[in-house]
Amino acid sequence: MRGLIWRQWYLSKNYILTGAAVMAGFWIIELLVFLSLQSGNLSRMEDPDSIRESVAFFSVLLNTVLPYGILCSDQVTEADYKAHWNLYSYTLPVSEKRLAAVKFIWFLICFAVTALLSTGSSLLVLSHTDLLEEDMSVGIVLGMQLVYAAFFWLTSCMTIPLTVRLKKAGLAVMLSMGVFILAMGVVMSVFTAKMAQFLNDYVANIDPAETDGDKIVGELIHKLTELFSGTAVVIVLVMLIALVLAYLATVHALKRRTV
Amino acid sequence: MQEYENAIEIDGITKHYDGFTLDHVSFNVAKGSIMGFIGQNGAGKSTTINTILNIVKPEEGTVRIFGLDHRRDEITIKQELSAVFDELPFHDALTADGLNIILRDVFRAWNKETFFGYLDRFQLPRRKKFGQFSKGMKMKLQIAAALSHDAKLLVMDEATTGLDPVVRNEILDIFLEFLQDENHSILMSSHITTDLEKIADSVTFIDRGRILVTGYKDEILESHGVLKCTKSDFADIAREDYISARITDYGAELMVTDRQAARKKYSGAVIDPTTLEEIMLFYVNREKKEWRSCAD
Repeated sequence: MRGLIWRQWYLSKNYILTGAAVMAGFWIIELLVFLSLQSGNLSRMEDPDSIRESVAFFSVLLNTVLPYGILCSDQVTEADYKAHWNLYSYTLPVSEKRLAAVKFIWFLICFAVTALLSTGSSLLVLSHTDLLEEDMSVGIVLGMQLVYAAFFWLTSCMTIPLTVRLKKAGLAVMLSMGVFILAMGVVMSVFTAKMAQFLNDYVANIDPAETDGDKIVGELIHKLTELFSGTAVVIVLVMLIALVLAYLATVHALKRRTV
Repeated sequence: MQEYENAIEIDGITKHYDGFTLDHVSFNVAKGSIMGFIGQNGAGKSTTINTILNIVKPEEGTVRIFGLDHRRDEITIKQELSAVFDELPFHDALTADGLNIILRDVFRAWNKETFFGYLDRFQLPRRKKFGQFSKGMKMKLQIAAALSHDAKLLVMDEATTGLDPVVRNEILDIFLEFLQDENHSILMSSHITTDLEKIADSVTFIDRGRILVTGYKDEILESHGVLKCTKSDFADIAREDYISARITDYGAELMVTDRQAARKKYSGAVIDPTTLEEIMLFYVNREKKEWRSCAD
């Protein structure tokens, strides 16, 4: 199996190295902006702390979204069809279960590295601001990361078997994104309704004598963090179930042996 | 692995597609022999080969390789089987060094020295990307990979198509070398019959999904013949005695399936030995207008 995983790396490496160069470029720009905020032109602007916080917030957003798209996408499955590798792979002493396992092990390796880079860079940026102590907790940052990672994970779980089946990665990505956005729309509608209910109840119970806005926001964030901690377990469970289902769907798609 | 007489045994495989049916195909490839699988494009050669390789699942029939069921014992069989296709099944970005890393973990008996030995013999570079290889180099590379894990059976689908005669001959020599071991067998599909005439022990003709003739090459060439006669003599020849007839301005040429019997029956006629190509042509064209067929 090591040989087949090495093959995934070998065939993806140009794309990954190009993506890594793009990410490195982005981090260099980030570093230059923070250096400027510390002792360059930006530090002499009016209210540099506010600029620092805004820059940090958008940096975290980009550090969350960019790496997954750039470093963690399947470049091999469609190319396998074009190169007739699929036809050849069916003549090898390798079962479909093993062929599918290779795809998912490679996905997990890419995902783990990307998640580390994404979370690490985000926390590094935040550690140079006051945001962590003030409005954002490490939990919220990790939560945001988890939600996006879950989004990427779930669409990838749909994309891998769909690419095997349809032979076109672009079409598979479009379809899985479409299905996912549709599902998310439903989930978000339910979530928004429940959130509105929660906020209404919360506002109704606020002590009318309390005038400290920061305290109210702090309490609210604390409650939301608690709520999210419970949801995080569900998200991780859904991710694991999706992975198992995607693996079984990929094995099934490979067993059709279309070449 | 158990003892076996035939490397491949196919019995009655049937597969329906829109506009094409592989119709109860049966033949055997004896251990230690090379069988040529002959037919025009679209005759069913690739479908049959893909069925043998368990890529296509037949609706009826059985396939046994090395005496084992080709589906139940697939992984065991494929450790000792190599397939070679007309197109290189490796990505253009790969190199021979990379292919060695991949396949050494796939095949238990992969032999790096044998692989690189073949590369040196074929003068193939180890670090050049396959995308920069010529058609001949790609085919040699496939054959080098196919012969580097102690395979007992080579299955080749149009492997020599599109190659120049020098490379084809070089490759045919490798096959003959491979067959020096009596446990080795080859099934080679091709529509280039001259190649098969050189090296095949037995041949199978397929047309429109049906097997027309299968047997030892020498026996088939011995029994078949081209009977040449005038147009007026042609009218006297019984339809069941020939496969088809090619009518020209100068006379008629008929493919007979029993040369000795035809010689006795039509003592005045000239009956020439034939070739695999002619046999294929007479069988394949048996329904075309410019030919006259025994089915007419």
